Amino acid sequence: MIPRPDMSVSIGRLTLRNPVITLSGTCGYGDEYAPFADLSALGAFTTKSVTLEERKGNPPPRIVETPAGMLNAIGLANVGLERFVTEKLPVLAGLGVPAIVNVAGHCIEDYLAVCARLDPLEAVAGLELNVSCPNVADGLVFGSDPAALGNLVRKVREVVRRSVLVVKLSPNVTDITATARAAIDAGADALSLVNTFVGMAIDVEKCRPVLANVTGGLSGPAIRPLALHMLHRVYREVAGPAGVPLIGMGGITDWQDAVAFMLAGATAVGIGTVLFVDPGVPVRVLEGMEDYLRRHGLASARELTGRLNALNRGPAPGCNTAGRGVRP
Amino acid sequence: MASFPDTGSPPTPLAKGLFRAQVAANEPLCTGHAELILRFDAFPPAWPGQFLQIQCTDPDGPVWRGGALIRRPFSIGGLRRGPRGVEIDILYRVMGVGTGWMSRLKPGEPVSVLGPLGRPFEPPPPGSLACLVGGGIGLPPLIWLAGELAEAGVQVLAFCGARTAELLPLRRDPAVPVRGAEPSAAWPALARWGVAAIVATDDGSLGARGRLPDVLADWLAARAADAPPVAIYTCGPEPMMQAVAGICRRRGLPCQVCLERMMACGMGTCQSCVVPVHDPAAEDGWRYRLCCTDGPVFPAEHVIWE
Ligand SMILES: Cc1cc2nc3c(=O)[nH]c(=O)nc-3n(C[C@H](O)[C@H](O)[C@H](O)COP(=O)(O)OP(=O)(O)OC[C@H]3O[C@@H](n4cnc5c(N)ncnc54)[C@H](O)[C@@H]3O)c2cc1C
Ligand SMILES: Cc1cc2nc3c(=O)[nH]c(=O)nc-3n(C[C@H](O)[C@H](O)[C@H](O)COP(=O)(O)O)c2cc1C
Ligand code: FES
Repeated sequence: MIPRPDMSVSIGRLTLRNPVITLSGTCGYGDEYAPFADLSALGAFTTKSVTLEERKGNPPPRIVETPAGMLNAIGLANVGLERFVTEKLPVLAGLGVPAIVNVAGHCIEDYLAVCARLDPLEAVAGLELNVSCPNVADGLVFGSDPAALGNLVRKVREVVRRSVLVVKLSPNVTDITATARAAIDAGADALSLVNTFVGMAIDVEKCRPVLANVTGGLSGPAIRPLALHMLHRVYREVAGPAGVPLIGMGGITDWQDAVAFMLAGATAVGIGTVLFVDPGVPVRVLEGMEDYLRRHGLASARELTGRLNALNRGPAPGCNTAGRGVRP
Repeated sequence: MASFPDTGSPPTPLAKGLFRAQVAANEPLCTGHAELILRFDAFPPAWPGQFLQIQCTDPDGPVWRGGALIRRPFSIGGLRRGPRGVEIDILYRVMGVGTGWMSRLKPGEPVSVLGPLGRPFEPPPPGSLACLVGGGIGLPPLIWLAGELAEAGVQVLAFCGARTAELLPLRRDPAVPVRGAEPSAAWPALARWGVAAIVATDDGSLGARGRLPDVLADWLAARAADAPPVAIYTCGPEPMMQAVAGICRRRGLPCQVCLERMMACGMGTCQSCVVPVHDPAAEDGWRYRLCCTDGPVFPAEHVIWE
């Protein structure tokens, strides 16, 4: 009999029993999602962004479906740090899945306060910095300016000692390798990418934007090729050489998508929007991935990372030797 | 579930989950609406006001291969338990891609359903007359509520509104007359529970001419002072519900509203479906609640109308 493939992967010091993670903002704090799926089957669970103070979020409408995806402008609605710690975290800790807490803030001090409070808590396996929320004015600065991002991550790094520090990159940048490099240089244990792409929808009869916030973040299958490309670039040009693991996300709907992100360089994969359609997707992704490993004679999910047989490996003609600008 | 009024509030947390149903029937009701009957092998206890999230693509195909992506919410318009399983009625109006897909479903085809979701209607105070005020596609939850309340011995009167006769999502018994704003038993979906309905259309093509809240206000004003107390339940377009809530506030009548919001998850995870409500405990006197888990039914006096 062929032995069962080893599904475990490592994100920094954190070992996950498998590479499938549910994404921030798409599975609440766990308790809401638990009746619909077996959370203990997941590699990890990521919470909705937690901010220092409670936030009401944006006025409705906050979402609209668009071709192959959806726009959301939730505006980081969340219960705030203290209520998260007292009300939500204990429930999450009982669900049998490592918790990655997603953290957002107005300013560096906010991030520091939240991370310092959460880092020592045993129920927190990882901290993911949301520096890329397109739906609040303040997050974008960190997400699109490599110097500001590096500065933030460096300071947060000083207060995060126990849990794994993940930096979630924004796709709303000209060159995602620049922010990836800044986060890695500042001490991130891992990067996750991508967050949503800024977009807009208009109700032509009413002559007004569909979302009260005017713009929203695009997620779902519509962004998958864009996300995959960004992940691959970051892997080949920055994270791969630096040995920093990537959590790949953006429009994953099935195991084929998940395997594609792993082949392109992801160590783990995130599942978000599609949880709204079918909360059972993560388990089916795992089954499909396990079967894929068997069929390809691979003993471990770790062997998938970056296994892509690129047709044009190496610098393209005319590229400089540092490898920047190499097209995957 | 005949015991609705005497079980008080349903148990919390409510059992809910992902189910596979089979289409038992899918037939037009009027020019604008159709009725889909789904059959389940088993389904948790459910109460009027609760809804389902229906995946509007083939559940046996890839999660997304075109068509609707996120699920679409629909009120439970009726529920019957029998030896061969559970049947649920969905009354729907074709609006776009998701409901268009629904309109093409054939008997025997599979449908993926998440539910039952949300907080249902509360039973009325003992001895009251329950008045159910539904506009257009807001009628389905009230049709089921009418049956459950009537079965439990509660007096029920329905007020049904539509823009025009053709758009009233109720089959009509042509043998029974409908005269102005008089209660009529011409609608079998209600009459089979002994519930009469006053109908109003904007263009006067059926029942009273005019807006349903005005018809309700006139009816309330004409009631004898010693008539039993009234409890109002309403679902329909938001301006209609707001007007009904206003009437109830002025008359001091209890009123429950069943709201609609754009929903991505229906499970309380995405925070997309917020409803602003008064909250004396909040610093600025209000907060958002979720239509999918705190609602869709809210006490009218809690809601801050946009
Ligand atoms: C709790 C609840 C109960 C409902 N009950 C019923 C019912 O019993 N019968 C019925 O016909 N309709 C009901 N609706 C409305 C129904 O969900 C929408 O008509 C349906 O989602 C339209 O989908 P579509 O793909 O056909 O249209 P689309 O092309 O997606 O959109 C058409 C319009 O439908 C509305 N809509 C679209 N998506 C959603 C969504 N996810 N949530 C809310 N509204 C949306 C919007 O106003 C939009 O402009 C209910 C909605 C809610 C929130
Ligand atoms: C409704 C919704 C809310 C989200 N909220 C957050 C959030 O609070 N913090 C965050 O970092 N990302 C948030 N995201 C982004 C997702 O975590 C994910 O990065 C993105 O949706 C791409 O993955 P997907 O296409 O699989 O959904 C949200 C996405 C959606 C759809
Ligand atoms: S629809 Fe997602 S929280 Fe209500």
